[in-house]
Amino acid sequence: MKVLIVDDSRAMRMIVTRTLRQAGYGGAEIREAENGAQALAAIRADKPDLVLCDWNMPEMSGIELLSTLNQQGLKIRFGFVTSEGTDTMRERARQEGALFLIAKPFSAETFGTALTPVLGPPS
Amino acid sequence: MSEISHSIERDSVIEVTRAVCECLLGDLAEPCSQRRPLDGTDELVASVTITGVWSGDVSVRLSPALATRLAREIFEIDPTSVDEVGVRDVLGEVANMIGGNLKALLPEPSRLSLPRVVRAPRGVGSELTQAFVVGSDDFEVSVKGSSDQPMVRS
Repeated sequence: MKVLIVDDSRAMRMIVTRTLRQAGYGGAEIREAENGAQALAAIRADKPDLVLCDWNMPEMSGIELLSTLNQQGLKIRFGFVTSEGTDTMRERARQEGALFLIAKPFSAETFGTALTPVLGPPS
Repeated sequence: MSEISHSIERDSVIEVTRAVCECLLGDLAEPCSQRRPLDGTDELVASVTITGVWSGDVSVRLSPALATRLAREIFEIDPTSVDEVGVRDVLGEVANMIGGNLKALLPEPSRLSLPRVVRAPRGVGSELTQAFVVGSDDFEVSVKGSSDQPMVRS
């Protein structure tokens, strides 16, 4: 199982990776990207099973990435991990096809609740 | 913390900061009345700007020692391996998380900037400045409305 973590903060990419492990998904093969543009190239090169993406990033934001994926017909399971979990953003994410929006700060339990319906129960 | 307000309340700052600190450090930050005297070095200040019905800056100010501890915990490396880039990355994310959660309490639409991190001497507190102690370190979170919208309740 390949998971692409997209965040402009290296610290947050590490925290997401660690939380995946704590939630029981430590067996996932982790790929990383620093912004939406880099993620788009990574997705085209090697389609991941799930994208965990920040919203607010330089170059290309998370929602711009998801919109671009939709426009290009690239069907990817996609969820946001962001510090800005407003109702408007949740609705926009849902309309673009995001499966969930996890608001920072989060816990392993939060990850488990969001990821189990998408990836199945942790091993 | 769920009620939408046209201002940022001190209780919200405390609640959000404690949750962020617990997530990043595994420790609860406790609010305190004031910080200990500075030992002479500059501090690190990470800030984000909220623009909308309420506009202003949310800043986190802390010592280089606490910043290094944060980076060490998050990157799971020894203190000597922590570099300035890593420290700034971690502090920017702290400001992003606190600012993003406070923004969620304000009326929409509003925007959150990318974080910026600078070194600066300890300055005068903003309209709303809250000190915290975590372990043997302390830090502060401040909220400052823009000049035409100083709608911050302390």
